[in-house]
Amino acid sequence: MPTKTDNYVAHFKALDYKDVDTLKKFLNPHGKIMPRRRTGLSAPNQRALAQAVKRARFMALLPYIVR
Amino acid sequence: MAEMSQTAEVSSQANISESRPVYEVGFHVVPTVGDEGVAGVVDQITSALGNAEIISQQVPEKMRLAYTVEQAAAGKRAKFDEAYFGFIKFAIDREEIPALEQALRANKNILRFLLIETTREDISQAPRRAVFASDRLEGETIQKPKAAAEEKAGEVSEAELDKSIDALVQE
Repeated sequence: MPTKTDNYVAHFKALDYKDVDTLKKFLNPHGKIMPRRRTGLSAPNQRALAQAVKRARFMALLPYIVR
Repeated sequence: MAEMSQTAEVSSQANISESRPVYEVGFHVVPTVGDEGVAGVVDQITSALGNAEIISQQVPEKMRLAYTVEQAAAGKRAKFDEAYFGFIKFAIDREEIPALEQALRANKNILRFLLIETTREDISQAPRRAVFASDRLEGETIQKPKAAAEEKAGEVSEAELDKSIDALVQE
């Protein structure tokens, strides 16, 4: 089922690890990646999201954990 | 003729450069180099790229890190809470990547770097739209049937008014 957020990501073609503001919208207050049922992303886009978030974490653009 | 061959050469070079894979290196420069020293570090990176075709780059800007990053230097661990973050997108031959990685790792002024394969098109430069701002689209889709309904109502009222008046008069 196509969803609003998924259309949005398709509009971007791919998620970029440098685009922290967009990535933050898919994280919960603890900094964890939201599950697919919450993000509403397609499977390929959810994988791209996970990849981008992990890259951003490594580059200290996003925290690994928020206490 | 000479011009012709030159243009042919240029186009063949362009083809070669376009067939090369596109990479992007994001990096943090240590804050100890200062605002003046950052340009020097970027020059070191670009010189390490060699004959790569630079597609785009961002001048490093000072930013606060999401967590403290440690760097071992001269038997001591230096801790950094901020760094200059920049990136360079370039096309280069695949064989030159290990040497580039080594050069980046050897550079003490680079706190951390991320080398990824990417596409030539710039993702981040695409027109921005807020994630949940697609409410605007919803508004449009709701408006359409409304407008249609209004038009219908107008048409019906004229024709049916006449009919109903006639019917009333006849009665």
